[in-house]
Amino acid sequence: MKKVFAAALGILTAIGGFVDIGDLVTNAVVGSRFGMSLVWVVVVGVVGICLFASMAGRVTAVSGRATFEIIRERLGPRAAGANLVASFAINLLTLTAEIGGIALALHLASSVEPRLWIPVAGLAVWLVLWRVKFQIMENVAGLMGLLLVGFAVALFLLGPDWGELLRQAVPPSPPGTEHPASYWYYAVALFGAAMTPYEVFFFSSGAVEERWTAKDLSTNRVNVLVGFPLGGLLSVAIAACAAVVLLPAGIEVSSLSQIVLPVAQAGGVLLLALVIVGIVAATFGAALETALSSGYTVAQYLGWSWGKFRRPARAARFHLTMIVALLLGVGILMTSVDPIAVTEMSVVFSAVALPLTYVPILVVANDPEYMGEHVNGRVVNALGTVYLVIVVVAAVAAIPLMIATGAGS
Amino acid sequence: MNVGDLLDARVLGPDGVPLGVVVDVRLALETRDEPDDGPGGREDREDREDSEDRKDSEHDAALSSRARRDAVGGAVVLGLLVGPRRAGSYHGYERTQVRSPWPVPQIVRRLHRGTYLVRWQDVAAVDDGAAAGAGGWSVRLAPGYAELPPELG
Repeated sequence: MKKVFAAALGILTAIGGFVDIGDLVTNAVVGSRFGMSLVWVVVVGVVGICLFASMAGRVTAVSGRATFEIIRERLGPRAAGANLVASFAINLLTLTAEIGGIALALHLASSVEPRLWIPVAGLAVWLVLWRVKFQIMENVAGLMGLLLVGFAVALFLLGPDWGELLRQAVPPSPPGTEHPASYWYYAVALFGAAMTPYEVFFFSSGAVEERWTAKDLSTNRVNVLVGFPLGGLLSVAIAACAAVVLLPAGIEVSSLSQIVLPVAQAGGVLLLALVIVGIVAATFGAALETALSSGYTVAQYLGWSWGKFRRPARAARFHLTMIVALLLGVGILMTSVDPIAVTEMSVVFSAVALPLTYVPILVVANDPEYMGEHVNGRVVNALGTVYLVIVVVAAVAAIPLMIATGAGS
Repeated sequence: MNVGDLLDARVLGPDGVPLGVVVDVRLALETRDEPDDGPGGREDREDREDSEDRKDSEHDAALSSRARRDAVGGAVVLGLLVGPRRAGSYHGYERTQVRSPWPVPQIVRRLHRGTYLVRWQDVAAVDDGAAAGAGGWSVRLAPGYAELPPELG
């Protein structure tokens, strides 16, 4: 019974933890402009994150080394240092977007200026990082993030023409008014949102925090393979809500209140309140994960002691790195940049950074010196190679597409 | 001299003909029975009282016991990997026959085609290039040196 409960908890937190501000914003923007015609990208992204998160978890469980320790070992100090600078910068951008997301959601709930909420959100994230145990932090944020299921409920209440939604999705048929370059720009953005690199840092370091060994591999696989696809369904529901309500009305998403508009229309104040709590939990959880990832990457590269399983005094530089990252994030937001614009940037640059993380993981997962009998099997490797190509193509295409489309406008 | 100075050094034959560059240095490690905890190691852990700290140290101990197979003594230079051109790191693919994930090992091996191992005994001289016009570190091989396959036996 205890085992079943633990497995269910793992799956539920994986579902609730899947969606973050990047998924929320990008799916709503895409739904309002392209209908369901980019759902295939969510599918590709979810399969990709399942593949790599389970691979990263397995590498860590078997070899005892987290992602950036491996990158440092395999690429050497110079190449890994360049990788660290790029990964840290993009992770910081994601952290900034998540803190902005918390502030925007609290603004919706309270009508207090988002800029007043930003320092509060940053402080709250730090307090949790400092005081709360890893597993409690993960489970509470993940379970409350499940409230985002309100988007799926709203979709059913809206009673859309399901046949029409399906026709938009298969075969993908973007509206004729949109330029193909914009379509592909958002395809890359959506892919970056689903496969954000921090999830791999976080997943592999989390495996050390939770003391996984080779015995925990099957639990890991179930959590990822069941939890992430269900989380992906939440993403699709967000896009579908926007496709049903915002696309016909010609509303282009530029704020969080527009993202939740379909929920308010379908389910009224109660459902809206639940979804806002879900958004706060999802962005808060992701802010914790990205802040931790900034500490993990720097500490693992430089060989500092790290981890929430140590008291802060015994991993002082790790905690200091997270504090600096949080201060930088809050500082960026206080210049009154639009958090939604930061989010759109962060998912595109995530796509650019993907190969930096995924290639080393894929290489090490094939190395018998690290993995012994747990090296990748044939099917995983075939998929791994396919994704290697997709990830590299998306990374190379992202910046030119961004310039060509004026960031999708 | 640091061993890192040898990386990218030019390799010359016994007669001074350029052969290529040092791609990597092959080391052998002595294994030990006891992991080397160093200062701040085991003794440091024992005087903790707090229960949370004890849990920390259990976790630390679990990690270090997993790393036990890596407990090693001093390193000995076995030889140099000599490649025909500067092509970056070999990423360890010279040691094994690993072929996946396609196409990463294939590309790396192609860039480093023609790389061989030279025993350290076959190195006649190492020059730091301080002499005028020498242009950086270079390594001269002894007459009768052998080009060995780079894979581990």
